[in-house]
Formats: sequence, structure tokens, C-alpha cells
Amino acid sequence: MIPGILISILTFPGVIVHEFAHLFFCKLRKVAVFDVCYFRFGNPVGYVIHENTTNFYTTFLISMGPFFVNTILCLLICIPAYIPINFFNIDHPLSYFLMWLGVSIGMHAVPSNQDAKNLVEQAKEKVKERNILALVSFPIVGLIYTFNVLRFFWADLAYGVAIGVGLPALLFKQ
Amino acid sequence: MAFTSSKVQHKTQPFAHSAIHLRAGSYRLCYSGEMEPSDNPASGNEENGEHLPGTTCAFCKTDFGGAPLEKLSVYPICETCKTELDKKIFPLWVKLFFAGVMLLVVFSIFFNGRFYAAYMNVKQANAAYTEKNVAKAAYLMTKASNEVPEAADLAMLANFFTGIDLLSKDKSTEALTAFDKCQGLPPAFHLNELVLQAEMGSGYDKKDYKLFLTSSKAFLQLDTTQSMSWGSVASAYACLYAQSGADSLKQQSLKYFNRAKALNDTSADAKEFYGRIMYRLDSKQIISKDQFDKKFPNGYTSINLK
Repeated sequence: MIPGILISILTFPGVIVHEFAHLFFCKLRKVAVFDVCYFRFGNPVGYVIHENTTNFYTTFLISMGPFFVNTILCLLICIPAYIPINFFNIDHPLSYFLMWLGVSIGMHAVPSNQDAKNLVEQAKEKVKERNILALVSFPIVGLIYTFNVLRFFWADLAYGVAIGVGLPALLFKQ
Repeated sequence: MAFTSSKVQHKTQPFAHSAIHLRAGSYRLCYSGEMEPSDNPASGNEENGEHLPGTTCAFCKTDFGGAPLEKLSVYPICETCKTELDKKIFPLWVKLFFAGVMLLVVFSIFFNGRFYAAYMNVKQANAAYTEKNVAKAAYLMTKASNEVPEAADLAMLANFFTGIDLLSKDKSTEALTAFDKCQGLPPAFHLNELVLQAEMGSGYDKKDYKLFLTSSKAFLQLDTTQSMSWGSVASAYACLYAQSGADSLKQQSLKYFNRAKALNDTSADAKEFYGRIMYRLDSKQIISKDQFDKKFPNGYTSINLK
């Protein structure tokens, strides 16, 4: 069995982008950030410590930030590399490097359980105020927890490949 | 407890290094990883920056006196500490990392732009071919091949479409040259049949009627269901007859001609083709299609067949 830390080392750009996404949305929503670790050899491999906020939209964006940023970046990086490899069978080192980079970033798109916990804690409060996003957050949180359990079965790699290879395959059919 | 942080502390004491001691509940953690952090930045900490006077920096603990300091969340922070914190949360190497990633994305988009252009041309070429617009298909596929010259498959497809286009324009010799460059195509492309058709045309154009006959017979062996297959052999024999005048060749031509007519006697194309063969047998003259069309705008009917 390959330990998680080794996977994180092999896919370190994804960790950096994941933490950056949290930071980006903190800055965007003017939430104070106290500390950021973009990558380290430990568990967790990266983290962001920021102030608490009572605005649920802000919490949602900060928690789900990596999902949007990593997914979009994964797709942006993989699409230009996909066509020469899969359509023209041209093995260029740059294309394979981009594929590794893109899939690595995609693998870390799904928020961690801590991110989900942050979200669900506030969603419980906000759902009483009939906040639609809070209501929608519950199934999302469920999916995040399920996904994080399935990481044991390489769900993160499957997601990265689905976004980096599967989506371009749908967009650019043979 | 020390307020300063270092990379060493990052590695050994996660979350214990924050420059200020955060009050439990005043912060949130977002992190990548599988387990809960082993340390908590707020645990057992009674010293809280929130309770410091507004003129004392919560990070360096310096009392600046005078005007109250700017606040980071609820914590007073001096200019120096704010600059240091900004550098720490978005360090130069992360900026360089993102600049590198962005540059790579932009570069790869431009670098691989030709592949995208070629892909679009291939799609349009295939669509044109489906719509039986072979000339457009050949043009677009050649364009795609020029965009990605290292793709051997693309070059073969470009030659394949070009060959068909030339064949449809009665430029069989040129078509044969194009087909020679796509020998690696899979059987589904029926290249062998096309090569034989081109050889037939090329033999006719070069007045090499023996080649015309050999190719047409080979083509007939591949497909005996088409009237044109039989008609081509009849046409080749008719050419040889016109050239030599040997009656046996005329008989052979008529033999194949009748087989062709038995399969298709109604279509306009077949009638026009049969007319040319019969004219050749009747007159011992081999004229081009254009000449034939000009001479017999309403078609040719042989006296022998009446």
C-alpha cells in the first residue's frame, strides 16, 4: 500500500494549489489569514489558518475554493496536452509533464474532511435561517466525506484523471 | 510561548508556531491531508492577542503608544509584523510557482495551438468526406497534416483524401502517386480497391491497355457484384481491340459487357459507360469522355445492339 504522504509528495503541486485556493478566497472575502503552509512532509501536508466568519457564503467559498480552483486549473493544463497525446499519438515530454501537473492538481481538488467540517458546522446554523446554500451544503458535505473515505481506493486519482483526461476526451472525441 | 515561527517548527510542531495565540473558536483550519492535526494552535493558551490594548502589536508585543494599530481580525498588528505576515502567507516561492504554472499554461496553449487547429481541420475534413465533398476533405486534411507534420497517420489520411479527389477528377496517375503514400492505412479504408481503380485510369490515360486490363480483372476479383467491375474489364478489352483489331478481344469485351448489363441496365451512369464501350467496339476509336459527351450529347446506341 502506498502511504498518503508519498502520494502527496508525488502530487505536491496539487497541495500547493489547494492551500492557495483557500487563501485566495480568504483574501477575496477579506478574511484575515494567520498562517499558511503550502507543503510539508507531515500530516496534514498543508493548511491555512484564518479567522472565523459568520457569513456562510464566505465559509462556503473558502471551504470549497480548492474544488473550483484545482478543477479548473487541472482542466486548463490538461486540455492542451491531451490533443497531441491522445489524438495524434505524439509523445512530447512537455505534454506528459503537463498531464502529470494537471492530474496532480486535480487530485487535490476535493476539500478535506476539515473543510467539510467547517462547512457543515455553519450550515447547521444557517439552515435554520432557510439559507438555500446551507441546505445544498449537506449533500455536498456528504459527498466530500464519502470521497475522502474512497481516497483509500484512489478516488483522488480517479477524480484527477476524470477531469484531466476524461473531460478532454468528451470534449475532443476521436 | 514564542511568537516567532520557523520552517523547522513547521515540520516538527504543526500549528504550534502561529505568531499569535489564537483564541479557540476565533479561527478556522483548512487543510489537505487525512488526519486531524496533532497539535492545536489554541490549546491551553490563555494569552490572547484580542485582550491586548489597541496600541500593542499582538505579534511582536511592542507597545507603540499613540494611535491605535491596524487590526488583523481582532488582533492589533504593527506595519512590520503585517509585512512579515504577508510575506509568510504568500511567500516569493509560491508566487514564482504560480507564475511558472501560469506561464506554462499560456506557453502550452500557444505551443499546442497547432494541434488544436489540426484537430478542427480533421473533424471538418471528415464531415466534408461524409457529405461527399472530397475536394474540401482533401484540402482540410492536407492543411491538418501540414500543421502537424510529425503525425504520420495524418499524412496518410491527407494523401488518401487527395487520391480520392484526384481519382474523381480523372487524374488517375496523380491519384496513384497519392495512394502510394498511404500504404499503412488499415483494410477498412479499401485502399487496394482504390489503387486498382487508379491503375485502371492510369493505364487508360497512358494508353497502357494491358495494365488497364490487368487492373480491371484484379478489381473484378475483389468485387463481382458491381456492374462497373465487369464493365471495366469490357472497356479494357474494347481498348485492346481498338488498338489491335483482333476479333477475339472484341468477343471477350462483349462477354464481360453482357455480364455488366445483366447487373445494371437502367442507371444513367451505366448507360453512358456502356455507350462508350460500344462506340469503341463499333468504331475502333478511343476517345475521351469529354469528346464522347460532345459527340453524343444524347448518348450512343450501337447498331449491333439494336
